[in-house]
Amino acid sequence: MSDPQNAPPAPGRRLNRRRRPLLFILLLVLFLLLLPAPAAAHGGPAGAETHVASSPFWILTLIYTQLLLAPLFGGWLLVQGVRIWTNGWPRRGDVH
Amino acid sequence: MAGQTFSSVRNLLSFRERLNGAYHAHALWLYMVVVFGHWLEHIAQAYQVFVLHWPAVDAGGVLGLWFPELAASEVLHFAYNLSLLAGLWLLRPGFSDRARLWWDLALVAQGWHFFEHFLLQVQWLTGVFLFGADHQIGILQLWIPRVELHLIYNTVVFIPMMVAMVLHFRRARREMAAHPDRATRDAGSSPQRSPLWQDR
Repeated sequence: MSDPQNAPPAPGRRLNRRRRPLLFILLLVLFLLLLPAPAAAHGGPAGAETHVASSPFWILTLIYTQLLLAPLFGGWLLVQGVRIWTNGWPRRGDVH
Repeated sequence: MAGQTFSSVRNLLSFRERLNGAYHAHALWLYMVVVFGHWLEHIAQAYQVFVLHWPAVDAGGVLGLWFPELAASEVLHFAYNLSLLAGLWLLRPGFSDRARLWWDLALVAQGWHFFEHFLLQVQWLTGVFLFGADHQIGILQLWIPRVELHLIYNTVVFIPMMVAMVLHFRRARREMAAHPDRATRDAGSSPQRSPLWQDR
């Protein structure tokens, strides 16, 4: 007796499953093409806005937080690098 | 043709397995140095725009001072983001537990970031721009300008990677301290979700 769970899906159902991602991509492209452009997308050279930005608090907070994090992580990364590349870090197969 | 494809996939998976074995820590470290450098460039660019108030077109980070075409190169951004995504996928099996969870978060975030760069790249190649814009534009650029948006993207990808790496290396150090007799083994884990150090 055949197991219904292992039975192959009906042909129509299999086709739908294959088409689903295609349908999703088509809808997404349609959505993107129909959305209106923001003002910033006009009048500038390719790939970059020309405005001289104001500096809202949130972006300054983000920049300075990251400037603080960068030397911390950079230093930590350096220490790990020294350990890894100077035999301070064990590798599979090393024999002491 | 199908045989060649199958062979290539098998070679790639085999390479991935080796990468996550004995040399996972080394590969991960090298990869993170590149990612860290790229992150610094985005911070430098944001600093130039929002602290020094340079026009966005002139703010290309530190390398952009000597090679201004780098920041404007859509191909370069696309290629870098593709390699970032590939690295996240290639090095993923070496992580376990909480470190894996953070790494996966970075992978998902980079998946979206890459999709945005893919859209930018297609627009740049075809000259057909989304949303009726007169240059290539990403989806979230509808609400956030490109410099700010890609600083956010890189932060959202980099922070979970950093957390994952710290957790991963701390665990390795802890295990090394707990089992000094096993300290001759690998710091990276196997492709399976297993302890960091394993028997050969």
